[in-house]
Amino acid sequence: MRLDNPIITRELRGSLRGNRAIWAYTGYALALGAVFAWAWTSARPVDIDALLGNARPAFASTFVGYWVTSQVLLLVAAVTLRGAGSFAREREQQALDSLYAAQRNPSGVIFGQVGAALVAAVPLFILGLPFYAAAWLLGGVYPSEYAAVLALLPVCVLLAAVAAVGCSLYARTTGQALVLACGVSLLIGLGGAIVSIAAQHTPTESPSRSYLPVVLWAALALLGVALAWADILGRRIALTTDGTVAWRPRAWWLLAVITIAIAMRSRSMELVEPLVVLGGLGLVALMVLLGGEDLGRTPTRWWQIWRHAPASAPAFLVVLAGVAAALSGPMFDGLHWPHPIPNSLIVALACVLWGQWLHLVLGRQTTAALLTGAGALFLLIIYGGTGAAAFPIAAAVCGGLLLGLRVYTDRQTSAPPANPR
Amino acid sequence: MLDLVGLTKVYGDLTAVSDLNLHLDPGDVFGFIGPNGAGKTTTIKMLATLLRPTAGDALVNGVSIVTQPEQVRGLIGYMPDTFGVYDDVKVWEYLDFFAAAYRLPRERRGPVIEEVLELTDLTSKREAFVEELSRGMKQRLCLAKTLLHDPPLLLLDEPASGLDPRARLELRDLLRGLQRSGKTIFISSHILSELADVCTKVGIIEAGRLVAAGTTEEIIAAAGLTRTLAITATAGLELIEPLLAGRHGVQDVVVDFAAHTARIGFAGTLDDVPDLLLTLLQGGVKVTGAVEGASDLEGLFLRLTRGQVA
Ligand SMILES: Nc1ncnc2c1ncn2[C@@H]1O[C@H](COP(=O)(O)OP(=O)(O)OP(=O)(O)O)[C@@H](O)[C@H]1O
Ligand SMILES: [Mg+2]
Repeated sequence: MRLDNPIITRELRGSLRGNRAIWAYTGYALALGAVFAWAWTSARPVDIDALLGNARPAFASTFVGYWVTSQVLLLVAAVTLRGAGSFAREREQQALDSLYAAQRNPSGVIFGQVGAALVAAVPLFILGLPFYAAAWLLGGVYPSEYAAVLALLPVCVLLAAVAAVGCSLYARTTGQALVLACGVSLLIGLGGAIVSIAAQHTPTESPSRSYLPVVLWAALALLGVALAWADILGRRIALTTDGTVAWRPRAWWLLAVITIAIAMRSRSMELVEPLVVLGGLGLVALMVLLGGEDLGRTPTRWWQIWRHAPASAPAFLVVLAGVAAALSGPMFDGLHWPHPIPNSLIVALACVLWGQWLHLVLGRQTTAALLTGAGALFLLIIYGGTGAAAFPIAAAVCGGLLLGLRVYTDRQTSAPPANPR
Repeated sequence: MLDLVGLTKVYGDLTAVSDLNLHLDPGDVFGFIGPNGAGKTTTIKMLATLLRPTAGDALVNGVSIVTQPEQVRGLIGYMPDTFGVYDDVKVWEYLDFFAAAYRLPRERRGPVIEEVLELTDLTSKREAFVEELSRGMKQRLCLAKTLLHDPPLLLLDEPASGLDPRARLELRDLLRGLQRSGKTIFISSHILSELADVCTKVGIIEAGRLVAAGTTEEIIAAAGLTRTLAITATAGLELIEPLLAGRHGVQDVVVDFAAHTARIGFAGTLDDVPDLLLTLLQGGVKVTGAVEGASDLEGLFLRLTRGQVA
């Protein structure tokens, strides 16, 4: 595959020019090395048992706990800084019109900007690989931990890139985009860091895989948020340019298949995790919603949830949060019906239908989605209260931020701007 | 080549562009003139598929800007009125960026870039950084960018603003060259003199409405406007006024004895000029030179627009 996206090419040319980039990379590699060396020396002397894999050396937990966490945060910061500058900076430079007029296909612009933001992270990731290899040689880090980290990093980075580019598309100035993007990325980075810590084995624990479904589910939920962003951005850009193109990433369906496959695999391993199954179902429903038709043309019935996209998408993210929370145990015993699966389904269905009904009655996407979100959060408070609710809550906060942003920009764009001269 | 059919754009309760109808043939250079805020940029942005018309449509080679904007983008070269360039990018890289955006095949990009650099006289600046170019060079670079995919229609929004007189002349030559190569050019401006001798057709827009459109000749005739004939003569200047007094169409005569010149204002066509001169020569005026100032766009502009736009 030849990379022929002009925006990515331009980014590469710009960033590879001069010494700035090479010094930054060197500094980064040195910093990684310093953290690694610190973890290494703090675990001395090397335990022969550990090297043979019989016991877990102190080094491994430090490595997974601090090193991976700091890499997640660094990569997220790098793509956030680049992504936040993308559209906002071009708008400030008044270069956006020329770009739109030259592009036959609006989604090329968005892919290019996200890709250009990711370009910043790729060398950073590659520079980290030798350290992973060294940690492997030193022993004590479980393959599953590597797998979790390698799944987690790209997801967090992709999510941060998409979120930052999104903020950039909506914000009026680069500064504003930067503040918004950093806010969103902080959540993503913290989410990633929490997952990386959760992925750790504790020495007392016998090697068990029970954390894996949770990690995967969280990763998929994060990816779901990322794709929801991408979808909404796609629509936004289509509207900016000509209002007729609808960008519908079919990758959604691929994600659905993967989710279901993971759920089935957990079952066959007799590790039935209701979270995984329901998370998968939720994501499928989310995809159906996002792949739907635009409102308009023919009248939509309130139960035709697939036609209400994308208004229902952020609401559905919150619904996912509700489902997860419902499974996590009661805050008020009296309200809790101790059957997690039907419970979650009821919560989810109630939220979706309520959201659709509101959307139709109010005729306003944003208000309906906000009210649905509020309802779902109410259920979350009733059913939540345990640690497992952390990720859905993070997702819900992202959704909330997105909605706030939409309301804000809708207000900004509906007011007539001052006379250009 | 380009047909505007009832093209309209409404912002809230402001009608920025109202029911424009226009037809351009291949090779036409259309001067789109109007005061600030008349709706020129809005019209051009609609044609460039950056704004969606509220009503109406425009067809570029028969392709609709409303239903097939993606095809239209391949047929137009759009130069915005204000534009920025990227930092950290060289002139040829900037052009390569747009060539890729226009999906030119990789192996054709190099030769095409050389060609447009040559055309816009930027070859010597090939390796310069874009942000270091002077204003006029940036303007030329932006024009070069719009030529990359060899579009049959160029939409130029005030391409001469901010240029010095020499650069303006060069731009005019460049536009003539492009016209000769068969391109249709839609060019907006409020600097009238820059358009006077390049344009084959002129449209005057005010408050979103096209108040006059057609060839310069047609507009002058339709508006009953004054044509001016500037004359230099070594003797007999005092005879001009009596000779032309009462002659049909002659509106005023201004004689400057010190400079040996006279300006005759008359309503009519170009064909009236020889008759007029003959009358003067036979009457004993020693005419040594005569210049017909047909394209008095300035006067046209001031008469047709009444400053309705704030
Ligand atoms: N995005 C917008 N929202 C609301 N009104 C707008 C918008 N853009 C332009 N207008 C209004 O539309 C009218 C036409 O503007 P336009 O920019 O097309 O004028 P113009 O002829 O290009 O003027 P100039 O010579 O100053 O460039 C103006 O009254 C302007 O205030
Ligand atoms: Mg303008």
